[in-house]
Amino acid sequence: MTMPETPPRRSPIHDLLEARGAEFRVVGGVALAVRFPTAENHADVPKSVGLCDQSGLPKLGLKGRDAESWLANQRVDVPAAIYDSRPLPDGGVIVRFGTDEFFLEGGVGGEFVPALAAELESRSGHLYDIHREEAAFVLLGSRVGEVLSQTCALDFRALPPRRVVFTRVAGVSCGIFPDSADNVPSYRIWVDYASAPYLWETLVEIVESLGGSVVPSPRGRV
Amino acid sequence: MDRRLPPRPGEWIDRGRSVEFRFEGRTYRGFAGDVLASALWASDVRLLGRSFKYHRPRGLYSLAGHDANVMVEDGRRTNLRGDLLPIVPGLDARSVNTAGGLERDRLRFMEWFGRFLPVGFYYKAFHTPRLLFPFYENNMRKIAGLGRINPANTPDDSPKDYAFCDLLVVGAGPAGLAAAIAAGESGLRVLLVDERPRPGGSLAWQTGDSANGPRLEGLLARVRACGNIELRCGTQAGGWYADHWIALFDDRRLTKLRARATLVAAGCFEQPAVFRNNDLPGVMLGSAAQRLIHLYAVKPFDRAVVLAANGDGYRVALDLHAAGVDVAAVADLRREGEPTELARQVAEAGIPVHHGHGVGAAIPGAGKKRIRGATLCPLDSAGNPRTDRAQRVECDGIAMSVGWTPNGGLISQAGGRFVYAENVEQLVPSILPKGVFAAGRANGVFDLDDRIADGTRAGLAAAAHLACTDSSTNGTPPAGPERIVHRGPPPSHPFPIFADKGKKNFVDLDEDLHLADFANAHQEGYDNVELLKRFTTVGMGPSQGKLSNVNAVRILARLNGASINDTGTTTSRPFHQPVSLELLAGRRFHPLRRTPIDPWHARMSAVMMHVGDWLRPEYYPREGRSRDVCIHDEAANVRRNVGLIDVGTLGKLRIDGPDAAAFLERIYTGRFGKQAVGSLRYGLACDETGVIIEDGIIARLADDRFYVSATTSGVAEFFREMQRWALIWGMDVRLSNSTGQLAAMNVAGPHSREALHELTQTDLSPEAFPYLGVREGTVAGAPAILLRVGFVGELGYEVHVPASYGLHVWQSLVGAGERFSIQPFGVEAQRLLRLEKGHLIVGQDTDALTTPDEADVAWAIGKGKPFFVGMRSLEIVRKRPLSRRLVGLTFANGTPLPEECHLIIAEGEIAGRITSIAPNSTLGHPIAMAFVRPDLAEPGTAVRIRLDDGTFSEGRVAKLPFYDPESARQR
Repeated sequence: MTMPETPPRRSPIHDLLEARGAEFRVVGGVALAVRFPTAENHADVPKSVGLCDQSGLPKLGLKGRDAESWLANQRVDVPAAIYDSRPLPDGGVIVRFGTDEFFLEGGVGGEFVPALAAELESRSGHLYDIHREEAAFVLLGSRVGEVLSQTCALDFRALPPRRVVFTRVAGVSCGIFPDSADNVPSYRIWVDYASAPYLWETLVEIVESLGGSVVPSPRGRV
Repeated sequence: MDRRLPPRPGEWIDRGRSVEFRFEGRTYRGFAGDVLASALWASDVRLLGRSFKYHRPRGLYSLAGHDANVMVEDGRRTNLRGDLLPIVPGLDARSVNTAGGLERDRLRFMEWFGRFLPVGFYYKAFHTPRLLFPFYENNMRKIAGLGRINPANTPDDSPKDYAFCDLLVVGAGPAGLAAAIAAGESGLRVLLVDERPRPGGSLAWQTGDSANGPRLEGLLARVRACGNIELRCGTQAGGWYADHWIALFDDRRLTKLRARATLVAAGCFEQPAVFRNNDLPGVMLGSAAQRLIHLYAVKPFDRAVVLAANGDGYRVALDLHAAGVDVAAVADLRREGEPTELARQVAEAGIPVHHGHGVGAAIPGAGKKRIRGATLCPLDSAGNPRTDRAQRVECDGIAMSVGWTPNGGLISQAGGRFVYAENVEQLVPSILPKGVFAAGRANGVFDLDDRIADGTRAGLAAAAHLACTDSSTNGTPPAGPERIVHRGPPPSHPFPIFADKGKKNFVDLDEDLHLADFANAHQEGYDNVELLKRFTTVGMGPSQGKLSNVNAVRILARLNGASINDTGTTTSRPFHQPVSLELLAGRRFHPLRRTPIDPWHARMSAVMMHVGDWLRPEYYPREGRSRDVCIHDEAANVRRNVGLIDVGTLGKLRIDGPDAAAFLERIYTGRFGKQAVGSLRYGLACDETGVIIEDGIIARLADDRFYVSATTSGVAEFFREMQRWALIWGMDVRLSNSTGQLAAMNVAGPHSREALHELTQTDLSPEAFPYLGVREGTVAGAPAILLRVGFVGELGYEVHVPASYGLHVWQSLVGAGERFSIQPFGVEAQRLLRLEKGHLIVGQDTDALTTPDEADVAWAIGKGKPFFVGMRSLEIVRKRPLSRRLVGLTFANGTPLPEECHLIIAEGEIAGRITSIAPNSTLGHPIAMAFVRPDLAEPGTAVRIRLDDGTFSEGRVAKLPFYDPESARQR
C-alpha cells in the first residue's frame, strides 16, 4: 500500500476554466489559472470588467471565545468590529464574522494562513477551527458596478470600504468584500463551493455582455 | 412630397445619417433621430394605422407615445408604438390589426356596421348559445385586436438591475431640471429620468422662444456640473411601489430603483377636443404639430386650422406660421379670446381668429385617409356649435390646443390624491404622500418661470424632508416657499366636447368610443366612473386613457349633473406606460448547487435529477439497458461487490463548545451526553408538536466537538432551527454549516473495506473501526472524516473530505475499487437499497404530521430524558391510540403495482397510503413502505391499494427490514 501525497486543491470551476483554454500552475497547493488564450492576458486591469477565479486560496475559520486572543497571540491584527477586515502579512485578509468568529484567507502563494492552521494543532481552550472552502471570485474594472447592480439588490456605494457584506448575488448567498486598490474598483465574492459553478457561469454571461472577460489570477491580491 | 423643413436649432434628427426603412412594403428614407411616425409624415404619409374596432384610418395624433392606433410590428416584435419607435436601417414595419394591409384593409367596412355595434354589444350578443362562445371569441380576437406574437422570436435575455438614489426626479423638463439642480446642490444623490431620448421637456418644442435653447443649455450645464445628479433619458418610471420602489424601463432593461423620495415633474398630457371626425389623419394635438416642427423639422400641414382654448393654441398657430404653414384660422372656444401678447402676435401674422368658435367637423378626403377641410361653428350660450352657421375652411390639418391633464400616474400609485382646480380647469395634486413631491405643470403651474421656480421649491422641499429623515428631529420638514398658484385664464377648457349625430366624434381613439357610447352606458345605469370604465372600456386601451379619461369624466359629470370632484377619477395602476413583456421577463436566475464530483458525473453521462436546489445523478445509463435495469444493476452491484455514491448533498454541521452534547440532547430525541468519542449515533429530531422534521447521524469527534450528517433537503431549515434554539437557550455552543464546503461519498458493499484500504492509513479493521464508528484521517492524501454507516444495508464508509479534494478522492476510490468491480450508483439505486433495508426518508416516508411512534422509530427516543424539543407534545399524543403505522409491504411478481401516494382502502374507507415503492428490488419481488391503520399493521395482513384506473392491487404487510434483518452485513 502506497499512500498518495496531498493532492493540489481544485477550484469548483476548474473544468469551466479548462474549457476556456486556461493554463494552470500550482501555487501554494492550489491549481490557479494563470493564462487564457485571450488578449486580456496582457492587461493587468481590464478597461471594462474582468472576472477572476481565486478559489482554492488557503482559508481558515475560527470560532470560540478564545479565538480572538489566540489570533492576537499569533500577531494577527484582529478587526474590532463585526464584518470589519484587516490585511494579513501574506496579502490575505482576516474578517470578523461575529463576536467570536473569524475568517481568514491567505494571499496567492502565501504561507501565513497554512502556518496558522498548523499552529492550531496544538491549541487548547475554547477554540474551534471550521473548515472553509468557499470559492472566491474577483470582479474588477470600471464597469464592475454594473455587474453587481444586475445581480444584487444592494447599494454598494453606500457601504464603508473594506467591510464585508452578506447578501445574495444572482440568487445565491455570498459574502462580498470591497477590495479596491490603485483606484480600480474591485470586489471579492465568496460563495459556497457548491453554488460556485452556477454563479461563475451567470457572472461570466453578464461580464461578457458588458464587453468584459475572464482574466487570469493576478500575482497577488488585487 | 418631402415635408422636411430646413435645419433648425435644437432638432433631434441627424441630417448626416440618412436611414432607409420600409413601411407596409414600401421603402422610405428618414434621418437618424426620427421616429417612425415623423419619418413617414416627412414623406407625406398620413395613413399610419387603423382603429381598433371600426378600422378607421388613423394618423399621427400625439407624437408623445399615446398614439395607440399607430402600432406596428417589425417581424420580431409587435405592438411597437410608431410615435416612439426610432427608425433604424433595415427596419421593416407593418401596421398591426389589418386584414390585407393598411391601405386595403378588408375590415375597413366594419365602420358601416358601427350603428349595430354600440358599446357593450358583445356583452349582450355573444354569450349564448354557450357552444358558440369559442367561435365568437376566436373571431373577435382576430377582428379587433393588436399585433400577433411571433413565437419564433427568442430575444436575448434583457438585463434587470437595481439602482439607488436619494431622490428620483421624474421628468427632465424645466421643472424637473430645476428640481434636480436644487436637490443635487443640496447634496442629495439625484436620479433624473425622462422618457424622451433627450432632456428639456417642453422647452425643446413648445414655447417657441429662441431664448429657450440657451436657457435649456444653462440648466443642463448646472446638472452636469453637479456630480451627484445622474440623468437617464429614454427611461420611463413605469410604476411606484411601497417605500419608493420604482420600476424604471428603458429600451433594453428593467431597473428596480430604491429611492428615498420621489419628485414628479412629468408635465401634462395635452387633451383632444371631441368633434365629428376628430380622429382622421390630419387632426392632431397642437403639441404633436409642435413636436413635428421643432424636434423632427417636419412641416405638419400645408394649410391648417387651429382649435384653441388657451395661449398654447396661439403659440401653435405662430409655430405653424413660422414653419410655412398657411394658418387659415384660429377657432378660439373662448368668447373673450386670448388676453396675452400672443393674441397680438397672431394678429400681426395675419392669422384670422374666431372667438367663441369651435370646429364642428373635420371634412374627410377620399377614403378618409386625410382631411380636406373643417367647418367652423360659432358656439351658443351653452357652448354647443351652431351648425346652421357653419363656415367651411379648406385645410389639410387641424391642430387642437384645448387643455391639459397632469401626468400624475406615479403620484396616484404612491397614494396621492388629486382635486379638480377650476383656476386651471384640471386635476392638481391635493394630497402628496410622505416623501412624494410634485412640480411644474403636473402641479398645476404653467408659466415657464413659475415652473422653474416650482421645481426649485420642490427640490428644496425634498432635500429638507430627507435631511429631517436623516436627523433625529421629529421628522417635520421646515416650512419652505409657498406653492405657486397659476395666474391668468385656465389653460384648459372645461368641456371641449361637441355632439355629433353621425357618431363619429371620438372620445377614446384606443377603443373607438364616441360620445354617444357614454350616453348609452349612462342610460343603462353605469353612472359611476369605475363602472363606466369597465362597461365602455374607456381608458383600457394601450394608452390607458391618457387622451380620453379626462374627457370621459367631464362627460359623466355632465350626465350626472355633478361636479368633477364629485364624479371622481379612475385608479392609476402600474404600469404607467406600456412595457414590453421581454423587459418584464428579463434575465432570470435559477440557482443550482453541484457537488465537487459533478464533472465526473458529466463525463459518465449520468442522468441528473433535481433534489431541492441540488443536481444529483439519478442513475448512470448503460448502452442498451433501460433505466430500471440500470438502477437495479447498480443496486445489485452494491449487494454483490462495491458501489460508490456521491452523497455530497447531505447536510454537514458542526456543533462545538462546552454545551455541545447538552445542546444535542435538547435538539434530538436521543441521548448524546455519554456518547463515546469516535462513535456515531442515530439522531431523530421533532418540532414542538412532536412531528418528525429531521434525522441523521451524530458523530462525536471530541468531548466538545460533534459532526452531524443531516438530510439533504432539510438541512438549511434545520440549521436555522438549531441557531434559533441556541439563542433561546443561551447555551455555549458554536454552530457551523459546512454542507457545501465538504465533499462526501459513500463506498458500500462487501468489498468496500478493501477498496478504501488502498487509500488510507486509518485502521479499517472491524475491531479498530467498528460499525457506527467515526475516525479522522486521510484518504488519498486528503484530510477526511470517515463514518461507518449502513444506510444501504451493507458494509460501508462515508468519506467526507474538503470540497477542493472531492474529485481527486472520488477518482482515487474509483481507481482503487476497480479490481473489486466498483461501480457508481445513483440516487434511485440508493433509494431502492435503503427501502430494502427499511430505512425511512424524512419527507418521503413521513409527512407534516408524522410522529416517531407512527414511523416506528420511537426506539430513537431516549428514556427518561428531562427535555427535548417536542417531548411534551409527544407525551400528550402518546396518551391517544395510534391512527397509523409505517409498515413494509410485499407484492407478488406480476401484480399490477401502485405508485407512491396511492391509497390503501379497507371496508370502503381510506386506510393508508403508499410512501415508497420499488417494483424491481434485488430481493426478486416488489416491495414498498406504507402507512396503514394499526389494525392492518400485523405482518401477513393483506391490504388493497386502489390504482389510477380504479382497479385494486393487493400487497401483504411485511416486517421491516426486508433485507438482512440481523444487520450482519453492515457490521
